[in-house]
Amino acid sequence: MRILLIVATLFAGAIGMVRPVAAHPHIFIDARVVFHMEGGKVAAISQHWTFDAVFGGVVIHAFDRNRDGKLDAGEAELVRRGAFDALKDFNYFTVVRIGREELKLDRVTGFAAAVEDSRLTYRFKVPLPRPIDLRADNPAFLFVDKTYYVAVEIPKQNPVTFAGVAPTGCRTVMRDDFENPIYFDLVVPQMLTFDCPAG
Amino acid sequence: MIPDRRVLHRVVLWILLLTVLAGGIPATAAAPAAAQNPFGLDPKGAPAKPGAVPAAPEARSPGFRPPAALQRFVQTVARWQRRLNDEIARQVAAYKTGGAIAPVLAILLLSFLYGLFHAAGPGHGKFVVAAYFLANRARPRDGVLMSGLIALTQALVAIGLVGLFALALDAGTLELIGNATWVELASHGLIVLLGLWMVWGGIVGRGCSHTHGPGGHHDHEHGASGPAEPGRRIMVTAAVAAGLRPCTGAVIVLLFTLANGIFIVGVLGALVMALGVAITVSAIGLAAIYARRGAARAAGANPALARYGNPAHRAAGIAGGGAIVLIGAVLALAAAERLGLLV
Repeated sequence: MRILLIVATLFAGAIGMVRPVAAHPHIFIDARVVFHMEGGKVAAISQHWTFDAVFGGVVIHAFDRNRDGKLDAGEAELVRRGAFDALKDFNYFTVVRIGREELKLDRVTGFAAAVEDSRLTYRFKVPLPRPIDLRADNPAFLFVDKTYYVAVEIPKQNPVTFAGVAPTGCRTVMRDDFENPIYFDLVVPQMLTFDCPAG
Repeated sequence: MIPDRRVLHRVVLWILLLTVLAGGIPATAAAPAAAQNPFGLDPKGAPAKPGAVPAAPEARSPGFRPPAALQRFVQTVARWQRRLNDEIARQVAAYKTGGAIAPVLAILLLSFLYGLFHAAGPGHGKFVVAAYFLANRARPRDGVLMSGLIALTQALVAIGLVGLFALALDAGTLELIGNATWVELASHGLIVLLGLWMVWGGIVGRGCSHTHGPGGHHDHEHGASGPAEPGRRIMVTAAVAAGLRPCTGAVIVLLFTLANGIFIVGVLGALVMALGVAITVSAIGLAAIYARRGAARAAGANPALARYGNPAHRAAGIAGGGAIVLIGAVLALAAAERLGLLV
């Protein structure tokens, strides 16, 4: 009996790690990221999302009322209200972390939804509440849905491009964010950091 | 000697109970946010309702972390899922243009694989299956049966919901993705009832009515002439309860095929996907059954331990049932909150 209980305990512990929620992710996004530089600091981040064909196809089908295979201005506006604005509660899957602090991002400008190569795409720009200095603030950027309902991926090569004057002497480095695993600690997100040697 | 064992026995039971609770409950509390589609998804373009905001990441306790190998496994499965997802879309496009049978077969095969991998992640009733079979004595056949029923229920609910909304009601179906909240509420409510039933069974000794003589007789194979399976009906109920919440993956694929005018292929795909889910969930059920069996056999060979068989079985039933009650309750409350039933 003791053995039974020990085995049951271990087993329950193992199962306890795998908890009763829907298996994720359900949606995949390829994100391209542009940092808008002003006065040597990051003032805003704009993103271009390409959705996986299945979820994106479903969204296009739901909003492309006139069935022309495109999302015109009116339809794109409906997409914004019906399938984008809610992301505000999820920080638009954008994390800007300085030290332990994560900036609250609750404003978006220039949202556009479109069909490109028969894929659903979103474009939008997130102004940062204050400009971020890559050197002095030593920020980390993550493009992630912390609930892992959606898997967001940014390119491994050249993960970010710059609009305006690119920072000199800084190198982008992708790191594993071991300190902040998501999805019940099962997924270690990638964070974008900058190595800016002094001088 | 005897008091010592009793103390040990109690300690181990408490560890079992606390482990189940510590593993399941706090994490489940975080689940509602995770189970909700972050996009909101309203095809009429209604303004976004304030949703469940994911818990702040701050103030984490540096507690137990899953091993790196498990993390890699989860990420690999996600990558496979993504590839399957892309491939399903490609085959649907091929079928639309060519109309041949080959893409349909490819879609079915891909759906099967999708179910197999998709169910490897958390969810799909695996916790209920594991708790149920750790707490109740059962045959391997039951493990497969219950898993199959859960998967089939999930598929049928998904097909039914999408079919009802799209074909019968001619209503928008987008909201169904991850937002079938009232179905969730029903599912979790039933799971609470199941857990209560298991606790009650443990208290009155039902479902564990075999006499355990001092000789440690541990043969629990029910012959055809034996009493009716105590758990059969409740097991079917449990499977249906756990399966009521449709698999979001199946709903998305169904909507995708519907959008492409080949809903029937999606229906077949959902059923084949259920087969894949059933296989994966069965593996958990069988592991639980054999873990319990092997341990019981090992303990039964030791007469000093065997005398504790009956109370331990009961306690396992109570602990497992309690865990199921709590998890069901937390999830049901979360669903009720999202429906606005709680203020």
